Amino acid sequence: MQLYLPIAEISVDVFLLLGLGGGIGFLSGLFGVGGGFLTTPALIFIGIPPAVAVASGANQLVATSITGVIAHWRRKSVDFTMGFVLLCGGVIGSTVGVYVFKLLRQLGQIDLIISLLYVVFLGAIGLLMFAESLRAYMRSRRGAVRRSKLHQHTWMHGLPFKIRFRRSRLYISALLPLTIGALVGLLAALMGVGGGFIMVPAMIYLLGMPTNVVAGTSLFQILFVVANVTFLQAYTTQTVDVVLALVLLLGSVVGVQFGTVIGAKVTGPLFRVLLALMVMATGGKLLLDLVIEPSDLYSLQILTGGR
Amino acid sequence: MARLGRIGACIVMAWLALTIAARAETVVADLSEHQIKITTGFAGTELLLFGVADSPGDIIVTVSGPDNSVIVRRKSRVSGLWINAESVQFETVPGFYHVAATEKLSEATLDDVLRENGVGFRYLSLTPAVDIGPAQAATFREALLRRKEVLDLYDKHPGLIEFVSGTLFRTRIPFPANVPTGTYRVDVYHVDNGWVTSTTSIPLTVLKVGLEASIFRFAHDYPALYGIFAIALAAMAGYGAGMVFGRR
Repeated sequence: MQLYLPIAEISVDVFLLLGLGGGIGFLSGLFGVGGGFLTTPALIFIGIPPAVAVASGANQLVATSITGVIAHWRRKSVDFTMGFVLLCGGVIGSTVGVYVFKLLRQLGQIDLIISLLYVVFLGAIGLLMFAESLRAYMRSRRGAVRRSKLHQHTWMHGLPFKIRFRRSRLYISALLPLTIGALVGLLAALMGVGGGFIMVPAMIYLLGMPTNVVAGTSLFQILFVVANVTFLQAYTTQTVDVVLALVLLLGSVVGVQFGTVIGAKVTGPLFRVLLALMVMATGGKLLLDLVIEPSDLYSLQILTGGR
Repeated sequence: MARLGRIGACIVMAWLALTIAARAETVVADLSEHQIKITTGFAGTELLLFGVADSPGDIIVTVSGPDNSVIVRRKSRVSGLWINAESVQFETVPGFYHVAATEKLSEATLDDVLRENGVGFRYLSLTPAVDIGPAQAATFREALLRRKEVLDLYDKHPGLIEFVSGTLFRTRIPFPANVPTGTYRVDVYHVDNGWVTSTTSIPLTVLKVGLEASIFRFAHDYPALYGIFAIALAAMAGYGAGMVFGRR
């Protein structure tokens, strides 16, 4: 059954879209990841214009992150002070990002930048996860436990504008979360991702936040950043397709349920190796597309003036 | 619906056949519908064009969609990566283009007529916005036509017009799902011995209707409000889904 997407202005098979949303939802339930980094490339792959894919992906993330935020809010596992500082950075970063996006689109380089960002980030994160999970797997087999220092003092702790983050039990410079938030906001605007896959490691390893507040706080920041991206993309480029976002969401809501159930049964480091491999494969595919000579060197950009 | 259209077409054809006797050297034609409505389930459509020519000869039909500016970009290898380098902008490029001709019309005659009238796939007056030299222009023009064909918006091979009986002719014009919206021009040429003896134009509009049209207009006319609406809708959908499936 074909469905005409009003903003993307193409018609796609509903079941393909539902399946796509379901598949990504399944994976995010299975691995406990956001899945945004898979949605955008998948949408581009089925022929949605990259600009619409990124903007509608952000719109869909509003829906997927809100339930998480509410749940964490009830459990009191959101550090609002930290979330607010991250968010300030996020709003700055994503606003800049949306305008950079518009500029790159006019220059005809947006597809390249989106692909390159995905190659770099998916490659790096895939490798890190692969190495980390392999090490964890080895450790679990040997049964040895190695302890690292809980709190290390570095140059970062000498920065000004120190703020006390109660729930995170931290006393650090506000510049750190502000920078991280801005960086993630920029990526959200350019890649249509929530950025959890960058923010969570940054919060744990760079800021030294306790793990119990990391998920809730990062979701809190993501919710508002993707909302900001949605608004700005709708306002400046008119590329937010609500129909596309809703159909994807419908699929992913169901997919997540299955993913979570199965994910609870099969766990372990070896399983994380699988996710790492999948992430690297997606990045590798995008890299190949950039390196291999395309079948047609030419492409069109239609400047729509009328309707 | 289609059947009703066909019956209507027959009635109009009969009427055309009667009125045509009064005029000399004319071609009269019409479409089964003058509007293509893009709705939720739109997956492309086909219109029936039919007409009457009072004298023997051939028929050529051209369908031209709304004009747009188009940038054609060429990729070049830069440090191992294929990235967009040169680009050429073309003004007034038809969003959709279709040519149909009667079968017995020789290719050479068709070509002549098309060239003379500046119509047809090859003779569209597509010139770059800035002068880049004829060789470059030709390469980019060729690329533009090729990409349009990949999108099903142009067709290099003309469609077939058949004579149903004597002077009655008809042809089917296919429109893909990604057909651009706007005002179209449908021109019908009557050709006798390589000369255009009569032409007629039929209006055609492609428009979005229903929810699609509302969403599109909303997004373009009130972008700020639409942004807020998109966020609210997603938030409600997400919250609703969370309620249905319990706390996660």
